[in-house]
Amino acid sequence: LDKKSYLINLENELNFLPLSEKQEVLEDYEEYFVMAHENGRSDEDIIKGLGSPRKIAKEFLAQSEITKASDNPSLNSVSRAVFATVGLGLFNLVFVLAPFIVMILIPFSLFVISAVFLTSPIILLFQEGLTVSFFTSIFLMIGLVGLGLLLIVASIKLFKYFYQVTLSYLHFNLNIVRRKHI
Amino acid sequence: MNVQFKKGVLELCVLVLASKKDRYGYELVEEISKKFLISEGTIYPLVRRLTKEGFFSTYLMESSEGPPRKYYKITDDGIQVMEKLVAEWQQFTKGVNEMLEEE
Repeated sequence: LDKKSYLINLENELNFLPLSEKQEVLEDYEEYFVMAHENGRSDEDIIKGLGSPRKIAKEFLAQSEITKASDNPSLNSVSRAVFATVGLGLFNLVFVLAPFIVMILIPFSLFVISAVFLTSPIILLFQEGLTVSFFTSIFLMIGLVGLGLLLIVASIKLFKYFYQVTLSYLHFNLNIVRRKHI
Repeated sequence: MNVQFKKGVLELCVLVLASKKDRYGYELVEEISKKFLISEGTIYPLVRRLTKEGFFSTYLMESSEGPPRKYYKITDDGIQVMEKLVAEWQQFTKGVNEMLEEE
């Protein structure tokens, strides 16, 4: 492996970055090679010091996913940030992914329960048909639908809170200093 | 050394080095490598993020030999966060040292 093929590898690994940013990063590493050559180091020695392009790319990936998720938290972006962090090492499988999956069950199950409540009139209609017992339980159903509405709002709020907690934990876990720390 | 642990320390080191004078990337890696073993490739992602957070500004400067170098200059925000990290670090090491010295 020499400088040229190392940089080509790195370029391929960094494809998830916007083009301009990728170019900047590659320039940084190119500069690094030039400086190290001036210090009398061989390509082989430099490459050994730098570590694999994949490992470097994973660092950039985790960083960019966490930034994206912090700017715009959603189930998709937060999960991506979690998985990118897990990619950084086995350690994070236990300390990041496991708690994430366990914790997400709370807002998720609340969401499922509220969905059942909201659709309860339809379920009952299928079960009973348009009979007397359907009409006698109309107040019960109004109650259930109301409860379902309340729960769905609560679960959405809980999801949002969960994203914030997850992101703070990712920052903490990766020892990332952010603006708000000032 | 534990990787996760070292990462936080690396941020501190990079900020402290840049607070003494403007530095270019290779120089940062070189200075830190003199003291302990690091994966050289991970300094750039770190410096890049600190720059995005507004803790560094960058500029290019011609060098007598070779192509222009990208210099990192610490900002006021960078100094603030560095001072906070230094204080935390000192408190942390003081605690550890006291434990080590206890009979």
